[in-house]
Amino acid sequence: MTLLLVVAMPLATSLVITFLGRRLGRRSAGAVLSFGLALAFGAALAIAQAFAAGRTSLDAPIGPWLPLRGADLQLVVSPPIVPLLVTLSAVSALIALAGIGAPADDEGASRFAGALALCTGALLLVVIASDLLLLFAGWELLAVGTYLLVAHRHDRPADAAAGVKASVIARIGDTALLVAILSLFATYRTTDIVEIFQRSGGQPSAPHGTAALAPSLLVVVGALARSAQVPLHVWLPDVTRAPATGSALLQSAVVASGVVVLLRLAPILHPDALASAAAIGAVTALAAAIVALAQRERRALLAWSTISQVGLMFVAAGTGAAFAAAFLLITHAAAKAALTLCGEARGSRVAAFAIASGTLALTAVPPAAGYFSAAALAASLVDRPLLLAAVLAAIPLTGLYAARIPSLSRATGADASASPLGLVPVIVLAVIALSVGGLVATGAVSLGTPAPDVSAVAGLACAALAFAGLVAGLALRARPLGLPRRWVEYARSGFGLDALYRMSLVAAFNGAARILDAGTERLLEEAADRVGRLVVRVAALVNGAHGRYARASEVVVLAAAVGLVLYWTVR
Amino acid sequence: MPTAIVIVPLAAAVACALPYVSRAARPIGVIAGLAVTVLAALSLALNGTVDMRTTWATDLGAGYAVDLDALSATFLMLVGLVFAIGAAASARVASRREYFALWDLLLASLAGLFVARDLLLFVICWDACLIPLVVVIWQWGSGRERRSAATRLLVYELGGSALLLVAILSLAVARGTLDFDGLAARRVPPSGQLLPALLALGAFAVRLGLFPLHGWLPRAYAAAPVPVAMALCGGLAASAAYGIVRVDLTLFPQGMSAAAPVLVALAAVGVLYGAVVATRQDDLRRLIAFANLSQLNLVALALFAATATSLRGAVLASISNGLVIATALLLAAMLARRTSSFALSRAGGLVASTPILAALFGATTLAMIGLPGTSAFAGDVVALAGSYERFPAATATAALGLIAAAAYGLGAMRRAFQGPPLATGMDLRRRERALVAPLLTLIVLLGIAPGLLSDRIPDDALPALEVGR
Repeated sequence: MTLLLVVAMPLATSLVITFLGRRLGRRSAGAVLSFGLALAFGAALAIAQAFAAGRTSLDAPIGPWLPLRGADLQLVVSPPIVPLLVTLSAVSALIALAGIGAPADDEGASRFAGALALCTGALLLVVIASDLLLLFAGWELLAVGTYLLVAHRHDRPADAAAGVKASVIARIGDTALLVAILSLFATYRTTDIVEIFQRSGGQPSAPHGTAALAPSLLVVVGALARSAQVPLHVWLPDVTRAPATGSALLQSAVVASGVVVLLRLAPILHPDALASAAAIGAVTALAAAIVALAQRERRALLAWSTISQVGLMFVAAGTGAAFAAAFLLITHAAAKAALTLCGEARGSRVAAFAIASGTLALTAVPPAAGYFSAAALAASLVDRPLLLAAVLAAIPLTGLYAARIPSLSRATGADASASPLGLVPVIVLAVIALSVGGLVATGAVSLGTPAPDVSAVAGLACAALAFAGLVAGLALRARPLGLPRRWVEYARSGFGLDALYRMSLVAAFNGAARILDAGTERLLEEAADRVGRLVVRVAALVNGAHGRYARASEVVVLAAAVGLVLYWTVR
Repeated sequence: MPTAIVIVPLAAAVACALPYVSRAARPIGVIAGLAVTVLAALSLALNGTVDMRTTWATDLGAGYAVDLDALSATFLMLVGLVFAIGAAASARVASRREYFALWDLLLASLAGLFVARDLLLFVICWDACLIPLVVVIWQWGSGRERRSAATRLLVYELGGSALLLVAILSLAVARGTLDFDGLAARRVPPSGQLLPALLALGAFAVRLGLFPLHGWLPRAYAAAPVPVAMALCGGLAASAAYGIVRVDLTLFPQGMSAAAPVLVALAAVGVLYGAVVATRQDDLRRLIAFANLSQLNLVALALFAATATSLRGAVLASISNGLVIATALLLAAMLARRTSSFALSRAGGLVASTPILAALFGATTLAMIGLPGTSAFAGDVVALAGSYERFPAATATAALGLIAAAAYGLGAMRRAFQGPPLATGMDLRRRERALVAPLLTLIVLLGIAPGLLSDRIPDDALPALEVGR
């Protein structure tokens, strides 16, 4: 029952807010939203308590859904999922709370609140759905919520276009996941995740070999699209168009959905597919960190830093380091939410504190949380030198760009400063970002999976690298580096990938659509018209012949009938 | 009951044509549609199929045989509902008397088609649909293209049903009966099934809009009055899907199985084709028509794959598609009333002045592109899951249509409702909301609990092919 509440509360809140619409003022919409999400968080806490008291699994069958085996409305939680559930619901509730005080345009406030609730509910559904199709449903709803948040300001055409772009990329990932589900269903005759795991004998690679690779790779593609990893990351820099609370939710919680799915499905995925996910994550972490370094705007820098950090989570999830992945996810969610929420605030001391602690939490400088999660990741990668090298390279890069966060200019036309009420949750988030690392590392908070032993060398190396990066960043931030401007601008544009896609894929699709619409469609119609005209002409000919050969038409009919009878008898 | 379900709309048609009663033509049309839905639902609930048989044209082995089983009743519930709402939406038509008489006639012939258990009766009803349909498009349609659209529809459909007629005549000659049960009991030998299967499919594929036989479809949707376009997707397309199940797959299973690889490939191409072309449309009705085309080809794909799961999915998807496209067309008409045009380029920024229309249109668009929680997803995913067992490559190709669907669906929403406000208008009136509400409720209800419908259809009602596994 509590399990149902976790998902049902946000979704019900979304429905209520949507139905009440404008009758709900901006503040009351925010209050209803915060209340609903807080209830969901409460339910998540209750679940966490039950697990802390010794429960090992919890599932809630709600009812049948689709006429396919396993495709029922059923929720399930296992110990490794609990911390994710708590984190994501807590972060969403705090963001919603901050949104009450945050300045926003009055018009469409309830639409916005509804979208926030929808996003949260869908995300939590992804976390605890027990069958693949329900998980897919959560993903798709999440895409809708993302669209509504990004395209919220309807009078700005570019925002709407960005929303469509985000949804189309999300759909690419969803389609990959759907085909993977279809294939898994065809193999295992069920869509229930646990059942698939049991039927595959716990070793998906053994019975089917490479045949099991294709669906696993498709799942990875879906996760890439949803978690903004190379090459499907181009939608994430655009989410900064959403109002600050929306942007915060998208960058801290929603973007983790791909990681969540990888973590949840890892037992039924082919090891090679997971390895490729880790490799892509490493590439993304490095490339996005470099792009972040080249940004001139705080919002854009934060967006690219999100991509980079999620890349590290991919490395962890892909190498089976569930502990490190969950740890990174928690740290990043709190830090990024705090940073994004006060990314727009001016000069207040609280905001400065939040920005400073968020920045510290991003980098692996002890005692901020980032240090512990990065060290856990490095410790679990000791037998994978390439990935370890990438992670160790990403740590100082993170320090370099994070050092620029406090001093960067805010975007032009940014929102006015937040009200005091909106700052309370931000402080909470900042405190979490600072302290959660120590709590987890000392064992005060359990993540449901065994923690790797962090050797002193690994810890020291991480700390030293991060510190070096941060100091170098602080020292260099005001100085031009003397790099060619063309390079910097190239990096700032995300290595031009967005433009490349626009010129290649999007243009190709539009061209194909134009050809089909103007060419084939007209061709088909014309062909039909030709046939029609031919029939008319033949009819006219027959009619003309009728006069001369009186019974010609009867003969034709008779011949046809005889032919048919012959066909049936002779055959 | 099966006879009553035909008599009621027929009586309504007659009543509409009478001089004094015709003032109430619209309520009569609504009632006739509702009556069909209620009767079908009753027979589904009572689970009693009262069939009736009398011989008629004994030389051909044809007779009057009707029956209302689960499959027919399920489809008829949809048809009745769409017709009731379509009649209610036909608020301002010229020459109401004739319009509603033809409208009820169309409903009656569709009802006859769904209850017929005799091939000749089936074909008579099948072709009888065309007369009111073509006349209505010809006379009440919009735009300069309506005449040519009506002609094309007629020629395409008659071409298809000519092929069906040939198949039926040859069956009558070979088997001496046209009764469905009699024919199903004594099927044509497997080696000879391919030709009659394809001949019969000629009619069904044209009406369903199987790629590349869909030439009539976009024009007809764009030219027909909106209620009639609703009837096209909610009635005619459903009847084609029903025909494939009832005639082709039941009577010629091996023939269909032999042709399946080619047909499935065509359908998969059609799914993609419709979705891609829909992204280029400016006329909202044409956009919906191509979205519909894409969905119908998905239905066709699942029908041709003919596994137990895919057929169930096809029935669900077909019914859901009728509901969703009808809702979309209804909302398109309401949008057009505010912008005086169906062109998306004339709309824009409407979310500011008409938030409720925007919300309902958004919800319908999401249903159109198969969002989970709507009936479209339930139908699509079951259909795809069933088809994937036999034809993984084609099904995966068809699934790519989902990506293009996101592009056209959200693209349409963006163009109509976002951006600088080009048009303003009153938000939806209560009467308009009341028209859309039942459809949308049903879409969501069937999306969350498709079992309401799916559990009513027993496995043996679906002529699934035995797939060796």
